[in-house]
Amino acid sequence: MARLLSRNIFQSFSDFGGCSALVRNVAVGREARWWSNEASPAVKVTAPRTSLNQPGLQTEEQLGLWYTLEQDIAKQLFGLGGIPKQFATQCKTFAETCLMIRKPALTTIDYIKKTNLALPPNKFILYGREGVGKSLSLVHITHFLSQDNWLLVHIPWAPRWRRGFKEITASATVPGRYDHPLDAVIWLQHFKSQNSQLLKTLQLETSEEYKWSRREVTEAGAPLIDIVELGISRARFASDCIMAVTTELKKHATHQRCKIAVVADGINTFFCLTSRYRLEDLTYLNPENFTIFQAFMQLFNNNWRNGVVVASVDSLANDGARRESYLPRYLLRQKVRSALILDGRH
Amino acid sequence: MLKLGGVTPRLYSQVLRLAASCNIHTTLSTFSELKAEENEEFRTLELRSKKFVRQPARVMKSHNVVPPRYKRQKVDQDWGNVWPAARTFHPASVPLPVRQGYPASGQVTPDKWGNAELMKIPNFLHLTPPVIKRQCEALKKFCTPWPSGIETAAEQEKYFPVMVSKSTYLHSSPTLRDQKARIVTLRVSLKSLDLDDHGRDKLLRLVKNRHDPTTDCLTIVADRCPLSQQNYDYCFYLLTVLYNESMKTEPWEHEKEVADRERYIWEGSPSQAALQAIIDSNEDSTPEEVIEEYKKVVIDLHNEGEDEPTLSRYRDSVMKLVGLA
Repeated sequence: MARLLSRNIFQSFSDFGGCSALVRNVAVGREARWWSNEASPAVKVTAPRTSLNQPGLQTEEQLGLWYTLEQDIAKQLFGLGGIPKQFATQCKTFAETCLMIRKPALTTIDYIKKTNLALPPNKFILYGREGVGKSLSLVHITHFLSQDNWLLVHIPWAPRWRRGFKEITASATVPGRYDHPLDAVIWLQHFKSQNSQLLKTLQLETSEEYKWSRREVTEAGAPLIDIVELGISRARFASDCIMAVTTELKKHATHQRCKIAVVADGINTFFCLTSRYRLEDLTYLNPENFTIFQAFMQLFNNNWRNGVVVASVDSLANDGARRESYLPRYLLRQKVRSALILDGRH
Repeated sequence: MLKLGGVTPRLYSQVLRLAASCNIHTTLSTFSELKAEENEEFRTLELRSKKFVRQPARVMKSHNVVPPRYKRQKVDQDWGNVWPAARTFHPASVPLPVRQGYPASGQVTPDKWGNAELMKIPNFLHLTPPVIKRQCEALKKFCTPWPSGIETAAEQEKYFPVMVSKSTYLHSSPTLRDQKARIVTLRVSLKSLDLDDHGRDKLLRLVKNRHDPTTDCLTIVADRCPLSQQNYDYCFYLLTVLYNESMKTEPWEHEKEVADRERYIWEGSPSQAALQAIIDSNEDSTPEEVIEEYKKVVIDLHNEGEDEPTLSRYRDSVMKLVGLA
């Protein structure tokens, strides 16, 4: 980047007609200053890049180097979320998405490669202070998972569904549950964009019939992509579609028809006690009543195989009152009565 | 001043006469010469009554100052006689070159002479070790010997676990009394109370912050009654009630939930269920020590607190368990 910039500067200098105009403006009588390339060559700064753009092939030798994420892959994987906003602006400015190869991401990728898929899913939690690189490490790992033919269930920034939701409606199918019509549609589009190729090759099918309304029915044995497309077209059913998709994926994974990677940024938000949605009795809804939360939380159980969960715990994903520490146990363990605190452990 | 040099006396007198008629003030340096000359003719007009005579400077009377007392003190004097009781600091009596106070910029710490800081603070010059020893020797005849069998702290704790303390005050003012004398503090170590796990947990919940976890001591302070005897009785009443209530189990105590627990218990926890799921799915049998290590590490993580060492031990144990180590 610096290299590109320095070239531009010298370009503009030569536009001044050999810098003679500048020299003339310098006071006569003093010895003239020369601003040309030859007299004082600029120090060319080159970013330490590597051409090894496949995360699966990167080793410890590439630690600290930047690799380029192709634009089309970046758009396909993270077009609807995943790359933090600030970093995305930088990528837009420089017209390229480059990630630094760092140890946490490499270690996790290494563990994922060595995972025993016959056991319940391994859960890899990235933790650390704010701004330390958790989200970007997840981007790196997601890129690897996508290249390694894992079916991605990617939650870009979970707290958005708890506190920045677009709309909440009461679920028509299950009383007491609440849907996210618009957010569910966006997620289904994201899921489709990430996994469309793989879904075509895997040809996963539904195991049971889903009746959405009197006229809309998805038969058993229909391709799974149908449910996804139905959810995208019908926002009313989108949350239930997500629930159906996740249940089906769990079954498929357990029967070894595919391997599923759940990637979640800010997973501790799933264990928060309140959301921003206010009910009629003026209390705040517990997010465990959200359909999509229930859909994804069933993937955090131990009752399926052939999967892996990679997540980050972020203090910003919690409410303000529970952000004192960045350590995972503190951030995840929220259902504790604070009335009795015998020591500072809670 | 009119300075005339090389002028005849006649001219001088003419000037004078002229000045006098015109009311001009004149002074002449050669006044005495003129006076001698003019004596026969005129009386001298003395405008100034007296000649200014310079007085000798006032001599300050130097008083005979007695040198400070410490200069006359012997090195081997009995200090207890010099400073027998508590007294405001007196620099001349104290043979020490003490300094106290914040120095002004560029100066050294102020010395002891006229030092308000030294005079304000209490000093213990009346309680030097030899003086204390002497006083203790004098008091010994009023004392009884220390009872045998409770020489060490452990024995004292065993036979006298409860410690009650109160302060008495004496004022020399219109009233002798002080309200603070009614406060009674009772201190007992929980080790001395025979409590089981449930009893201890219940007691800690009842007393809240009156228990100090580092020393494992319960401190009850009573000041609600007007007399210290009443407060003393109240302290012991509280201790009795606390102990008896802790030993009882109420019917509603079984409603205690996981979130109410003061300590992490492995049995029946989700971690145990997760471990079981992993063991069941594992084709090769998981070694016993890996299971025990995981159990221990999880209990530590919850009960001891979470920090980098406990977390890294947990991480290593999990890696061994799932075969990634």
